[in-house]
Amino acid sequence: MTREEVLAQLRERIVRFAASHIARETAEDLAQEVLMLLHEKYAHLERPEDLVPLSLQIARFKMMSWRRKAVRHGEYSQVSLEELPLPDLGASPADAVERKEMMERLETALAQLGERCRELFRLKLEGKTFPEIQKILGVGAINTIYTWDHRCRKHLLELMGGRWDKR
Amino acid sequence: MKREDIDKLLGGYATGTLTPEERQALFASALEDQQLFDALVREEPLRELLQDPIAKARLLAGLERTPAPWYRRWLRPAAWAIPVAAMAAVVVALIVERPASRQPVTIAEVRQLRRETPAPIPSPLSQTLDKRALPPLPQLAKTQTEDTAAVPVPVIPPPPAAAPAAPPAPPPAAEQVQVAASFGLAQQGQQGEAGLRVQPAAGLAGAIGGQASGQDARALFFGAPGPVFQLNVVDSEKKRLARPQAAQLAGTTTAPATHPGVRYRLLKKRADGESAAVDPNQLLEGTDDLVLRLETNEPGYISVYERRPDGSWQQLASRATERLAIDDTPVGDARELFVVFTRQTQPAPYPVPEIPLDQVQSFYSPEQATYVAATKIPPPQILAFPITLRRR
Repeated sequence: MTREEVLAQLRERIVRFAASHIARETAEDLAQEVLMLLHEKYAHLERPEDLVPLSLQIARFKMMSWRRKAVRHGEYSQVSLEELPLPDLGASPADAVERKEMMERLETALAQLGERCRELFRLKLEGKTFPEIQKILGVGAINTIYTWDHRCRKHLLELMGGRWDKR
Repeated sequence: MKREDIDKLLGGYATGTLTPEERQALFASALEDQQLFDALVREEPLRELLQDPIAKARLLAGLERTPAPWYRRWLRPAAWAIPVAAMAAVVVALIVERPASRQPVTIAEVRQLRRETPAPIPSPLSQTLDKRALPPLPQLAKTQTEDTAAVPVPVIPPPPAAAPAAPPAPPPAAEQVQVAASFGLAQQGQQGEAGLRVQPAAGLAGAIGGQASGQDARALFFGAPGPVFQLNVVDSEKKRLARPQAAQLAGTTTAPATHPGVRYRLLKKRADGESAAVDPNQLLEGTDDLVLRLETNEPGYISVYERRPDGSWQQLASRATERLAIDDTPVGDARELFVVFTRQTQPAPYPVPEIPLDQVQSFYSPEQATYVAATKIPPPQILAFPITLRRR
């Protein structure tokens, strides 16, 4: 898969994701903004495993900035794409507060998990991959680890209220 | 990896622990699967949070404090309760054991010695005296009551006719002496306790040898301490040695005493013709006619001397006597007398005066008699003492 093919699929995925939250035109403008940033600053990336995570991150920040500006102006539709700022990767005070609140909620949810889920999450935080966790836990099949981790993640997300952040 | 298994890689995306193959499979699928792509977008907040090392370390610390299993949660209070219970048990044990520990452990027992009252010194005289008839005390008392305060001394009956053959006058019984003592005290309050034993005059004692304070002449006279008053619970060594002899004396009234002794009274005739004993320390009139009544505690020979105005001595009487036989010698208005009592007859008149002998003299007020006895061990063969009368 070439870079142009990856970017084309990314534009479609971003527009569909953004269109589920904002207006379709705004979503298309947001997707175009992400692709322009990838084209101008990350032209050396070609693989999907490099472009997809980066595009996810840029798209999230673009949407956060659009929401903040819409809140300041009191309306969403009047915000033009030209006025949307570039994503600021630095932590703003608001982001710090959100992260702090998310941190506390996550700690509370993790405390309510079972021993196996807590052990899995701990091993992942220590940087262990699924195959390594399989060996550590002495599980015969890697799919067992995948299944355990999937259930634990689903349970943890439920404990967090269905989403990691409040927005 | 199957398509349904690709979703299971989402947990590794946020933590960044996917292997390259897993990443490739996940993101390749995300490009084609909108739901997976949306899920990845929703994982972005968690991925962003876990990229912070501080946040990751905090979560790890929380996860390492793994909640204890149920049995550990149950044992946690027990872990406190068990030592606390043990400490409480120890404290209770100490409190309970404390009174017991206060009880002294008997290592050695020192028993208090049984205090035994000193056994009374058996007086052989008392047994004998109880069997004897009382001396004529009522007569003495009657006489005293009739002769009230005129002459505060008991009246001594006249001596019997057959003096040597008369039975020896026993020492006064306990009751008799007590009555006599109280009588004497009542009649002669000025004498007080001294009425029981009056010390001789200083000059007289000095002439004898000054031993009046050491022993009782009356006891020596009868061969034992006074059986009535028991004034001396602990006898001196000499008295203790003399006791068996006194017992012998008490057992057989005719047995001679060990210590030669003389009892004498000074009798003065009253207007009614009766004779009354006077205190040798009493101040007498210059013309009072006196009779010296002598009694010895064993047979022997007795002599009475009188000092003349020129200083020489004149023998007034010298004769043999028996034990407790009354021997009266008229002495007239003599001022100084000297009595000599010997067990054996003297070839020549006794040279008076001589060096003081080991003698003791005491005045016994109930009897108005003065006792003189030798104290020397072994007893001497002679007893000699002066009698000085105080006259106006």
